[in-house]
Amino acid sequence: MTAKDIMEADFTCVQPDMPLRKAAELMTERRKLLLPVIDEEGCGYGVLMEVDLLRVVLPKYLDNLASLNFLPESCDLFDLDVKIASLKVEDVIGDRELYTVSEDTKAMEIAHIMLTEQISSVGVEKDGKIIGLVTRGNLVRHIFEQTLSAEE
Amino acid sequence: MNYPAIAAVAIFLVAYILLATEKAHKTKAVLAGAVLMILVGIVSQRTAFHGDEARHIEGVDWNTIMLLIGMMIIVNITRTTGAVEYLAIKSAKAVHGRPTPIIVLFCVITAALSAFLDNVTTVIIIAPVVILIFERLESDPVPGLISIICASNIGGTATLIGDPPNIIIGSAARLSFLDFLSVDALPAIASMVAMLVAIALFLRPRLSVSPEVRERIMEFDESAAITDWQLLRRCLVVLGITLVGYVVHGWLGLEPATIALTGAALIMLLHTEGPDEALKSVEWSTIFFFIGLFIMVAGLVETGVLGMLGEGFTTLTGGNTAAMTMVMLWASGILCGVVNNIAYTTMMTPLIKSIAFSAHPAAATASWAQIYHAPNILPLWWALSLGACLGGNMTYVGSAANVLVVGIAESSGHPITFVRYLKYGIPVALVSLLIATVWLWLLFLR
Repeated sequence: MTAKDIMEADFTCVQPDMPLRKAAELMTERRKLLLPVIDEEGCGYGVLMEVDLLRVVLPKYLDNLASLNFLPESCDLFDLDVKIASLKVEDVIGDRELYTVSEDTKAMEIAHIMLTEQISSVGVEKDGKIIGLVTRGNLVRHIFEQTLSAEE
Repeated sequence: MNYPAIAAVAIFLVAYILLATEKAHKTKAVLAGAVLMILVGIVSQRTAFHGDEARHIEGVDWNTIMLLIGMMIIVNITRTTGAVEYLAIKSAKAVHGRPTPIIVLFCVITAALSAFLDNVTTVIIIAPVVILIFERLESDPVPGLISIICASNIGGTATLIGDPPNIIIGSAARLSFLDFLSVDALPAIASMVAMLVAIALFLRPRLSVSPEVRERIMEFDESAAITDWQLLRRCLVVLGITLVGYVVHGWLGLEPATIALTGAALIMLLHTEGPDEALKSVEWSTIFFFIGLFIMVAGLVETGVLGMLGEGFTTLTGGNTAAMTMVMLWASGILCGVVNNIAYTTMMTPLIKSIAFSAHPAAATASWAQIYHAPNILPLWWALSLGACLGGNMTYVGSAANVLVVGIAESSGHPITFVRYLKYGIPVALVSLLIATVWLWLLFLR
């Protein structure tokens, strides 16, 4: 079993210059933990993660505080409309890269990558282009389906 | 200059240029330079790691390293309790959300915590609170942010543990915590008072907020800032013991490093988390930056480069104590506005030692204190300390605290430009250096 057998060829992705608002809508509607960011040529550009959306409202410097419990309830740091309006996907993803494997990467190796790199999806790359996506969900389903059907 | 000296200078300069231009991370540049000095035989492995007491070469100063590690552990466990946030919010509410008194109180808190804990940790907690409060007040947080930068550098000047240059000087010159309090604290307090008066005079008219908006600050709940009351009580006990330890370390014949490690060991014992968690909070990159610097400077001492610079300094000033002190103070102050004050101080301590050694009429037979605490040498140590610490306020790259707050301001959407910083930094640095000039003159040169 290799990446080719497990990947989704028809996966949701976003472009670097897509307005963040639209990408956030896609993410919440389709309940994705992350979306691969693919450029015009079909090459991997980066990854948009849920945490990037949280970072828009809670920037990194606030992590230095022990807690934010002291803020009054009325204090809405989340004036998201203002903050998100001017942002594009590329503004928030930083330099995080989309982790890629080739079509013939074995399932075991993909599982190893996901565990050691602590990532939940890898792109499948062929000739420099991203042709599919293996999510942790896909992988687990494939591994367990095989084991369970073998037992039956 | 002989070949080893030229090689040592070349390695030092290349490493310094790499770090100053950020072509390489400062730790990588300095560590590579240090290892290279050992590998090519400029300084022996033994001298680099253990120093050579007979020839007055320091090597890696483990007092400084252990003091830094101990304090990092104590401070980083304490900061998770939310105590600094509590203090800041409590004081903002005490003055009913009025912006100028808030800045004044935050400066006092920052200076006090920087003196007894650590500049960087203090500002990375206070700066976000400043931003949260001033955004609630619909007011510009930048004057407040620059004020706390200056307060942290001034506060750090006051004690042996307040600022890395003082830690290095304290260890190299064998000056105690009380020595630092008795010489550095007063000019630091005077500089703070001068800065606070300036804030009251110049900032107050520009920062006015209506009573309705100020009410928003009263909604903050300081008691909710504390995340763990039990841990906080334990931290306060350990901090108390550590501070008493610093006050008496000279009488006990213990290095401040031992006091810091005692505090760290105590707080780790009292903390439920495992040791890995506490050690993770040590900034290993900073520690190895110090280690690399100490080795490179040992190379410069071994090859006689710093001895030559020391002779140059003596010739330039005619060996006159007052001239040497003033040049040391102002050169340090101005240089540390732009160069890394840790690297600078590490280089200057052996330079002062070489001056002391050649100035003493009977250096070969005199005791350590007779040479390095001689009446004409003592003011040089204090001039270096006051210059290197207070000069850090000059520009926004003057110290680590400055750089961090400028980064926080930028990511909060309130960028501090180089020039805007200078408008505050230069007057603060100049006035505090003037205060230091008068103080050193009264104390040593009159």
